[in-house]
Amino acid sequence: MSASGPETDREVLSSFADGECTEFECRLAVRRLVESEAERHRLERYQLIGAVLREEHLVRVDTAFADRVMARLDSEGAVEEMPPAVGKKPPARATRYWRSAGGVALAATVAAATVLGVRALTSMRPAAEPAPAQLAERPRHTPRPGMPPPVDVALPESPELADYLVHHAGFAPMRSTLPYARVVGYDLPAR
Amino acid sequence: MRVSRVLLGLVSLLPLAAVAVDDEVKAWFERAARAAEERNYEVVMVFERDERLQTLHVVHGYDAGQVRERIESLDGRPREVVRLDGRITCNVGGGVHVLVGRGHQRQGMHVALGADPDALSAWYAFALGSEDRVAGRSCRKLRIEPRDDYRYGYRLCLDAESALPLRSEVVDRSGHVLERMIVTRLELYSEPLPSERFAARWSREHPSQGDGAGVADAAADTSEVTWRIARLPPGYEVVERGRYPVAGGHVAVHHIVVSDGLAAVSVFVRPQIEGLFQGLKYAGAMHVLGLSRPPDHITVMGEVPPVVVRMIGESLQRVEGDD
Repeated sequence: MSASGPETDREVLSSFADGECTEFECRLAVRRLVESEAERHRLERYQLIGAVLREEHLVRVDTAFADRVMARLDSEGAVEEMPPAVGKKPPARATRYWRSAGGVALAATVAAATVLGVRALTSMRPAAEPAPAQLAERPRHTPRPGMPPPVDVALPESPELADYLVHHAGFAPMRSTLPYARVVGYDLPAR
Repeated sequence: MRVSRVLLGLVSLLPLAAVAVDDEVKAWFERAARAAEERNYEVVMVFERDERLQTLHVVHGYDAGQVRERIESLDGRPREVVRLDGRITCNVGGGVHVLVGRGHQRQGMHVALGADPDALSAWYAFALGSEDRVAGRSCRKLRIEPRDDYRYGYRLCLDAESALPLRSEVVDRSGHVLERMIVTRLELYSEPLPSERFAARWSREHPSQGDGAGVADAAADTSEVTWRIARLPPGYEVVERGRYPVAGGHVAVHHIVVSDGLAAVSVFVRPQIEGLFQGLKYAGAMHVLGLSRPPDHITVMGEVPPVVVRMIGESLQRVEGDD
């Protein structure tokens, strides 16, 4: 880790973004992402460039989410909130260690899950069945200036899709006005 | 300590079993499901999706077992959806669609309305919360939390008097709100509303371009092709199958509805033509997957996480003859 130079770091991050890293490189990349905001933003750029080159839909990596998790950990000390065993008070050094380790692990999970989630969304390989946790999360946030908006809203792009949406509304969950309120929100093209 | 954590972890891996839902929770859930269908009311509400807001005016009636409803957008381009006598008219975004869908005609169907909270509890956790206030009215919070990653949760605040949802949120497992509906004004009526309150306003001014296509009639398609979903997500089952004609009755669209009792996923299969959607998109809680599987095209959609539409769409198998 300490022997790696900036060029090597960029190569590792690029491999990570492309899903081609070895296990060691992946762990290295995750640690870099956890430690460095600049690295997280670099990953975001790599993902977008890769998506453009592959002509995929642009789905943003929410690196800001990992940032927010780290900030929250810093401000609240998530692990410190765990009550110690009765009658025992953990030494301050141990607390700091676990807080740091827990924070790194949590934020690393967030970063990895975010990246894996984007990969799973943008690659449509029928043979690979992604784990639910990888797909369950999806970036939801205010787009940054100059960034493309999430793929959304103008959902029906064909009359067939519009018809499907209306038909589906009749079977939608929580049977109420909500399914039809969704339909009102779409731009349905004419037949 | 460590052993207990391991045991706790192992317990969490066991298959989920239905548990009895608290009677008070069950009563609120059932009241809410019934009220949304059978009460006569008029609301103005704000619908939030993907950080966009839309104000809607809804007139809802129930008379002689029939639901009547008109939803009109109060801002932006004129849009409306009218449900009347089993027929739905959509005038949105420049296209007028007149459909008679099976789901729109049915009452008391098994998706949500009539669902057994005890059975649903295998997949969702129900919890009554504190009282709150929305649109100047008292309401009671009801949380429906998913127990796994194959479904979304719902946070409702139900009107104390009518049990209508005054606030409704669809959330993922992390608690992110994917869609939110908040009522800003509610009027309850004790008598059915007159028919003219449900007349399509915008389609009267702009004569319908639709042709009534979509009538549930499988007669146009005499093929014996059926479809089987090889891998259903846990808790989901096929609850509805049907076909309806498009393109002047020459082409049939197969429509399969999959549900866990609360969430619903629609699968549509039709012959492949140019311009059909491919890929994965979302709007609010809705995910749509389009797959080209020559000679067919598959569309899977539902207010469910993307893993669900992918699993269903990618495991769909064409079966020649009876399924």
